[in-house]
Amino acid sequence: MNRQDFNIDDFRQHSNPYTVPEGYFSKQQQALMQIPSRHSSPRRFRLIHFISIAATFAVIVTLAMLFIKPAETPADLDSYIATLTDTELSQSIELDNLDIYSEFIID
Amino acid sequence: MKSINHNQSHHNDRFTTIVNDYREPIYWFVRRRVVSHHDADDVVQEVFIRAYRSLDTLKDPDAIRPWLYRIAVNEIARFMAQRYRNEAELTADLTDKLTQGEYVDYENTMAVTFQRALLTLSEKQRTVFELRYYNELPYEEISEICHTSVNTLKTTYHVARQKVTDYIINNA
Repeated sequence: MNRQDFNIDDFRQHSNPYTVPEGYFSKQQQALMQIPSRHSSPRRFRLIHFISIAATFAVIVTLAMLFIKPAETPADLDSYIATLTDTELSQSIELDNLDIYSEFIID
Repeated sequence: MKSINHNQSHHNDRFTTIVNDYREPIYWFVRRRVVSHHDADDVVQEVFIRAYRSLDTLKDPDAIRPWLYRIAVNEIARFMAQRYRNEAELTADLTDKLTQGEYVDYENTMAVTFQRALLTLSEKQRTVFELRYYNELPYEEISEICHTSVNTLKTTYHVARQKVTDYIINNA
């Protein structure tokens, strides 16, 4: 074959040797149509879905806090919580100037 | 919630239209690139899954074709990168699948030779050649798909055509 006899554009319709199994494209269509039901919804729907779940959970927790009586805490924990909330000094220690100074002496 | 269901329904309708219009052209575009029918089937599934998930990013209905082919080009590249370590290994395996694989009409010797010629092109040349020669897309659309200038595409296509022509003349 020489270059003058060959026109690549003449081969466009006859240059594909590939075949498919019988009935493939019908099965392919059915499989592709399953994608919406098998795969996640688009990102913005997932975000809306997430926000609605989070909001529902927050409502449930809030309602639960109104109706559920808090369990008694151990005595030690009560005492610790009291120290956190107590703003008055229970005792004050006056430091002797010598005590403070002695911390900074370099021998 | 009613609004979400309506949007979801509209989304699915758009997807159905895209599947009906493009599943065969996309299949053949992918098949000619990956050669194996089973690999093409897998890649096409991934293309349409990705299309479904990112459909809300497509604002212009007239831009569906370059958008979808862009996804296909990316999925083919992903498939190739996962399957093959380098271009030499890719070419060797695809040639092997073409000459000994399933679902190939070996009686059509000129067509087999033509596809062997395409396997001598680089990946970029094959992509441009496929989109221009088989899909007859305008250069401006191929430019959107490949993110390459029109002038570069014209040169790439011209070189690819010459290589294919030379291969066929020397091997027919």
